[in-house]
Amino acid sequence: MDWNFLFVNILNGVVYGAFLLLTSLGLSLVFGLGRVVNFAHGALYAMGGYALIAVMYGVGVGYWLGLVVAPLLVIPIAMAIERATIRPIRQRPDVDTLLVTFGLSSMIVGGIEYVWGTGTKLLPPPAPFAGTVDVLGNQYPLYRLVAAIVSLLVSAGVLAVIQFTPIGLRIRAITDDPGMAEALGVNRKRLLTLVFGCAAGLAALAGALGAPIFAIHPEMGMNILIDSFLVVVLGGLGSLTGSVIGAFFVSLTKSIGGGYFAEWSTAFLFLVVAMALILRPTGIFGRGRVA
Amino acid sequence: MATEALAGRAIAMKTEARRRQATALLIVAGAVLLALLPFAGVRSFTITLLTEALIFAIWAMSLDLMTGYTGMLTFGHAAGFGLGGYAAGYFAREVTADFVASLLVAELVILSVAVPIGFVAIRLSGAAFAIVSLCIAQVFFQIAVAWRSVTEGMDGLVGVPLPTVLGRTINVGTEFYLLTVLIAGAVCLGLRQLVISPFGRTLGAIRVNEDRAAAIGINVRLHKWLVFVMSWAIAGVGGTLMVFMKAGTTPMSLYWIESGNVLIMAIFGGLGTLFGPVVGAVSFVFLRDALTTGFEVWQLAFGVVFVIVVLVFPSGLAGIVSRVWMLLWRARS
Amino acid sequence: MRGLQSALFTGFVSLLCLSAGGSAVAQEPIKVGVLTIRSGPAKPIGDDILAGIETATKMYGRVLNRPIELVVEESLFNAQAAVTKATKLVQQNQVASILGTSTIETLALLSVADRLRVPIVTSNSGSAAITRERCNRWVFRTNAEDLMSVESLRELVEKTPRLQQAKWFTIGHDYPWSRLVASSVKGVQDLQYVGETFAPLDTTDWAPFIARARAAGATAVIMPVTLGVPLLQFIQQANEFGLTGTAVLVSPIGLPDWLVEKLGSTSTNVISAGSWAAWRYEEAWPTTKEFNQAFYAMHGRVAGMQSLQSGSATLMLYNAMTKAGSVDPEAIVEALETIEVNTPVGSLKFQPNGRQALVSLFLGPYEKLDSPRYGATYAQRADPFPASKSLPKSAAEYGCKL
Repeated sequence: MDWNFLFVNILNGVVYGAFLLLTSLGLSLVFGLGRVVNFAHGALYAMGGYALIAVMYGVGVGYWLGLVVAPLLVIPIAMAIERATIRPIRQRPDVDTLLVTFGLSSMIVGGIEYVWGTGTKLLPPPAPFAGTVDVLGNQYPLYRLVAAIVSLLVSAGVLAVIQFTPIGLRIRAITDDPGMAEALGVNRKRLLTLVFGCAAGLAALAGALGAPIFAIHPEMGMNILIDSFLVVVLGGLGSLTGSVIGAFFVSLTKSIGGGYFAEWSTAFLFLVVAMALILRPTGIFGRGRVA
Repeated sequence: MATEALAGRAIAMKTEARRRQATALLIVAGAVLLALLPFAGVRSFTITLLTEALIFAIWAMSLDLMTGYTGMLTFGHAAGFGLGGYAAGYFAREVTADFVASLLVAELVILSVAVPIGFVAIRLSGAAFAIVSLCIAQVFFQIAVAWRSVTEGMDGLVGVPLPTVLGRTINVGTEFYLLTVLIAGAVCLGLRQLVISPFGRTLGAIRVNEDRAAAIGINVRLHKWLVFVMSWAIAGVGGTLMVFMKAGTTPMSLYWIESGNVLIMAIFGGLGTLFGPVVGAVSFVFLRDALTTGFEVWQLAFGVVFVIVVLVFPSGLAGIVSRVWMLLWRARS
Repeated sequence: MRGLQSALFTGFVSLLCLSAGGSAVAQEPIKVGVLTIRSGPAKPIGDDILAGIETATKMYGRVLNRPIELVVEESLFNAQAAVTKATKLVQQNQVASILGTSTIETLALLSVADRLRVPIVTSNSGSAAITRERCNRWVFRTNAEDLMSVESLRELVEKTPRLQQAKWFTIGHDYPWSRLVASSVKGVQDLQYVGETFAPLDTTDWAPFIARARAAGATAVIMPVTLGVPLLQFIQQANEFGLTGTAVLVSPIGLPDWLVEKLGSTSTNVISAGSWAAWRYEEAWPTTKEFNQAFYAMHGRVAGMQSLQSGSATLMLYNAMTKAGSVDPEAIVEALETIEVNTPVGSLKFQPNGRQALVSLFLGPYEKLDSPRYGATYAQRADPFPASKSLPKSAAEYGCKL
C-alpha cells in the first residue's frame, strides 16, 4: 500500500475541493434564494478570468490587485443581467429561468470569444508563489496551496456573513420562508439581485484564482459547472453547510478516482453521486426540499 | 339555471370532442404535407435538415412525455437515444441491416437497461432525479468509451450500412426522409392518444402534485416507471434512425451536451404540448445550421436569439401555436 | 407586448426560411469545401488548418482558369454534425472536394463517403485505419498516420541514449490512439516501461495523473493528450509540479507552433517523435520557404504543422484538378492517385493502390532560435524520417483493398 501516493491524492482532492467550494457556494445561494438554476455560472467563472487579464494587461496592475478588482467588475454586470433577464420572469415556471441562464451562458461565452478571440492565454503564477514546495517529501505547486487557502478564507467569510450579519439573516429568512419574510418587510427582489451579483462575484474570483493553474480560454468554466451542480444537489438544495461537505466529497472522489481508477474516475464519481442521492434523495443536509 | 348549465356543458363537451378529432387530423395532415415537400421542389439539403430535425423531434417528444407531462426533469436523456443508436448500429453492421430487426434489437437492449434502472431511479424526484439521470448517462458514456472491442471507443462505430425494409434498401435522401416522416407522425399520434387517455390524465395529476395523487389512490411509482421506460424506448427509435442516417455513432451521442440539447429543444418549443418538441427540434436544427455557417461568433448570436425568445414568448414557441389554435376554435364556437 | 411578439415571431420565421434557402450559385468559381473545427478548445487547430488552406489557395492562384471559392463549415468537432455539414457542402454548395477534416470528422465521413461522392483530402487525421483496413477510394490523407508515428518513435529512441535509459510512462486521454502510443512504447526492445494512465476525456486537472507518473519514478513521459488547450494545460501543470525537472516530455505527434510559443522556455523540455511538419525545413526545401513567406505575409505568424500539412493537401488537390483538366470528382480521384507534387512537407505522392501519402515525419527537440523568424522565438530542430522507413510495405499489405 503506497501511503504516500494516497496522501498526494488526498492533498490534490482537498486543494480542488476548496476551489470547488468557492464556485458551489454561489450556485447554492442563488438556488436556495431564488429557485434559479444558474447555468451561466460557468460563463461567469470565465468572465472572472478574462476580467483579471483585462485589468492586469489592460491597466497594468499586478496579480493580487487584479484578483480583487476582477470580481468587483463582474458583480455589477451580473446584477444588471439579473435585473434585465431573470427578474422579469421570476413568476414563471422554473424551467424558464433554466433556459434563460442557458442562453446567457452561450451569450457570455460567445461575447468573450468575440472580444478576446478563441485563443488560450497562459498566465504564470505570481512570482513569489511560482515553483514547488515540499509537502512530506512530495513536490507540490505552491500556488495551488495558496489558491486553496484563499478560497477557504473567502468561503469562510461568506458563511460567516450568512450566519452572523443582518443581511445574512434576511437571506436565511427568504430561503426558509419567502412569503413570511416578505411580509416581515424583506425586499425580496432587491436581495435576490444583490445575491445573484455576489454569487457571480464568487464565481469570478474562482475563475481568476484558477487562471494560473487551468489557463484562460472561453470554455474554461464548463467543467467546474458540472462539478458544482453535483455538489449543490448532493449537499442538499439551499443548504450551504451541505455544499461544504459536498464540495470535498466530490473533489476527493475525483482525485482519488483519478489516482486509482484513471479513465474510470469520472464514471466512478457519477456512480458514487448517484448512489448517494438514491440513498438520500434530499441530499446530505437537505431539509425535505427536493424540487 | 340548471338546464342552461347542462346545455352549456353538453356543447362544451361536443366542441372538445370535435377539437380533439381536429388535432388528430392536424397531425396526419402535417405529416402528409411534410411528405410532399421533396416532390414540391424543396432543396435537397433542406430535406436533409428536416430529416435530422424530425429524428430530434421524436427524441424531444419522448422527453416531453417524461418532463412535460409527468414532471420528471432529466439531464440524461441522451442515454436512451445513444444506447438505441449503438445497439441498432452494431446489429445492422454485424448481422443484418433490416430496419425492423435493428429497431427491435435496439428496443430489447433499451428495455433490459431501462426497466431495472428506472425501477430504482423513479424513487427520486425533482433535482435529485435530474442529477441521477445525468450520472446514468455519463456512466453509459464511459462504457461506450471503454468497451473498445464492441464500440471502438472514442473513434466510434463506423460503417453502418443503409437500412433495408422488406429487402429493399432505403437510400438516404427522399426515401429515408419519408420513412422518418412516417415514424415521426406515428410517434406523435401515439403520444397524443396516450396523453388524452385516462393514463395520460393521471400523469398530469402526478406532475402537479405527487403526494396528492398518491393520496387519491394513484399508483405513482408504477406510472412513473412506465413513463421512464416508454420515454427511453421512444428515444431509442430516434437513435436508431440517426445511426442509419449518419452511418455510425460515437460516444459523444451519450454526452451531457446532447442531453442539454434535447432539453433545450423541448423546453424552447414548449413543454407539455404535443407540437412543442417538434417546433423546438426544427428550430434548433435550422437555427444551428444557419448560425454555424461561416459565422464565427455563432455562440453569441445563438445565445442572444435564445434569451430574447425565452423572455418574449412564455411557454415556448408552441405556446403561440396553441394560442392561435385556441383563438380559431373560440371564434368558431 | 403583443406587437413585439408578432414582429419577433415573423422575424424568427423569416430567419429560418432564409437559412434553409441559401445563396444563389454562381457558375464561375470552383467551390472547395473546408470542414473543420471553428469553436471550442480545439479551435486553434481549426484556425491553423484553415489558414494553411487559404495560403495555399492564394499561392496557387486560379485552377483551370477559374477562381477558387472556399466554403467553410463548422464541424463542431462532432461526428454527427460533421456528416450534416459535409452533406450541406455537397448538396447545397456543390463543392468539388472537402478539405480540413481531422480524425473525428474523417472517420464520420468515411461511412458516408460513397454517398457524398467527392474526394476528401485530410491533412490532420491520425487514425491509421482511415487508410488501412477502412480505406475508401474517396478519402486521401497527406499527414503521417499513427502507426507511422510509432515507427518514428522507435527511431527517436534508438538515436537518443538518454531516452533509451529512461523509465517510460504514458499519460494520455482515453482515445484508442493513446493506447496505441502506449503499446508502441512498450514494444520497443530493451526499453523500461514503468506504467501508464489514461484520463477521462474532459480532464482539466492533471494532478492525480502526474502523481501517478511520479510514484512510478518516470523519467520520460510520453503524452498522447488531445491537441489544443488540453495539451497546453497538461504541459503547464507538469511544469508546475516540477515534473519537467525530473522527466523529459515526449510528444507523439509534435506540437503546433502556437503552443510552442506559449510554452516558451518550457518547450525546450519537450522532444517530438514524428512531427507532421516542420517549417524550419525551409532551409532544405524551397517550396517550404515559399509557403512560410506567403503564410507569414497573410497571417502574421509562423506556419505551424497543421498549416503546412493543410497547405500541402490543398496543393495536391489543385494540381490534381489541373492534371485532370476538370472538376469531375472521378477525374480528380484518378489524378490524385498518380501525381507527384512539391509541397511544403516535401515531394508528395500517394501510396500506389492506396490513399496514404508517402510523407516524412520530423524528429527532434524544441529549442530557442538565435534570432526570431516569422515571429517565432522557439521552434523544432527537425530531422526528416522518410516514409520508406515508416511505411515500408504496400497498401494491400496494410489491409487497404480499394
